[in-house]
Amino acid sequence: MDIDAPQAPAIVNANPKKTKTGGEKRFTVRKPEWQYLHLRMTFDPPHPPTFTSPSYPPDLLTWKTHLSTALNQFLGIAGTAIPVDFLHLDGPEVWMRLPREDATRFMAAIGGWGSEIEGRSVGFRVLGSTEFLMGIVGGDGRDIFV
Amino acid sequence: MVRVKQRYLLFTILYPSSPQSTTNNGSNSSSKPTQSMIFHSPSPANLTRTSLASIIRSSISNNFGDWGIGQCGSFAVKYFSQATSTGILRITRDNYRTLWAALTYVRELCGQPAVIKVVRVSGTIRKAELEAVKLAEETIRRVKREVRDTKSGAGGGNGNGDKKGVAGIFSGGKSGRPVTAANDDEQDEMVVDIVDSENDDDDEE
Repeated sequence: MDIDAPQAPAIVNANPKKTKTGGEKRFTVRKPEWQYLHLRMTFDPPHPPTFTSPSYPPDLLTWKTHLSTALNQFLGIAGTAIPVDFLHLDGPEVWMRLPREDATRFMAAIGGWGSEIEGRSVGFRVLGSTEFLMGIVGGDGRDIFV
Repeated sequence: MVRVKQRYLLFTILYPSSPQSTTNNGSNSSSKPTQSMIFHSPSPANLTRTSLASIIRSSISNNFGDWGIGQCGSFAVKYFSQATSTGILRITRDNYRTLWAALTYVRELCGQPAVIKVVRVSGTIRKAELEAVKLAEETIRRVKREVRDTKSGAGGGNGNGDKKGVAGIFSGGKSGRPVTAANDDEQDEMVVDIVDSENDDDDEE
């Protein structure tokens, strides 16, 4: 991760008393290491709202299997080598984390994938993609400081 | 009008273990094949330009999927010689690294273990052809030297022949026999026969 700290402002000799002591520090995170995705597995025809069965909602191994199939089709072995971390599972939705450089091709691969499982066509929908986890957790993050 | 830039990959196929055809040849001649003869042995007869292309294409598909085929499935095998196991591929400039990687991941050809080694990447097919000729000459020279050295090492009863062989190995044969090496050059001039690429049909793939 590159953290870009700006250079210290040039000290103006004419008015030395105005230079701040211990003022705010700013830095820009240019290239974060991770990309965070919020995905939903879509089924058509859709399941009823309260429906549960051994295969629904899908567990993490099912997620991994389907994602690997999609990646293998579009990107081959090179695609299945993308390391994926599942952070949270919530019904048919999942939060996950992967290297930022791979995010574009990952989304291209899973976005174009579809399959037929148990009489329903299955696909993925990208609900959110962000470089920071707060982006998919939701809110503006202000409640942390309350 | 913007020209489409191409890259030409010159590759050789190395066989870590001796293929079937070479062992037969070796048993016919009196001397057994040296290590570099085994490594640079001729390819089997059923390995043609088209079959090689389909092997490479399946390697691309396996390693890089639909995206890989879309990016560099349009390569062409411009030249392949079974005798020297050498060939030239043409690919658009932006994608030659993907093709190179797919070549590297090929592990066997026609059922026998093989390694495809990219020797040179060139912008014109002319330079790749010249390099192919040079490569074949070098290979033959090296094999001849090895054969000579083993013969002089085993058959020569006097110590002088032994010494010459050892010296040849350590000096790489350069200082030992410059005259014979030059003669070899003339003999091997016509060994490699490169097809004329200008008259070649580009769109056979």
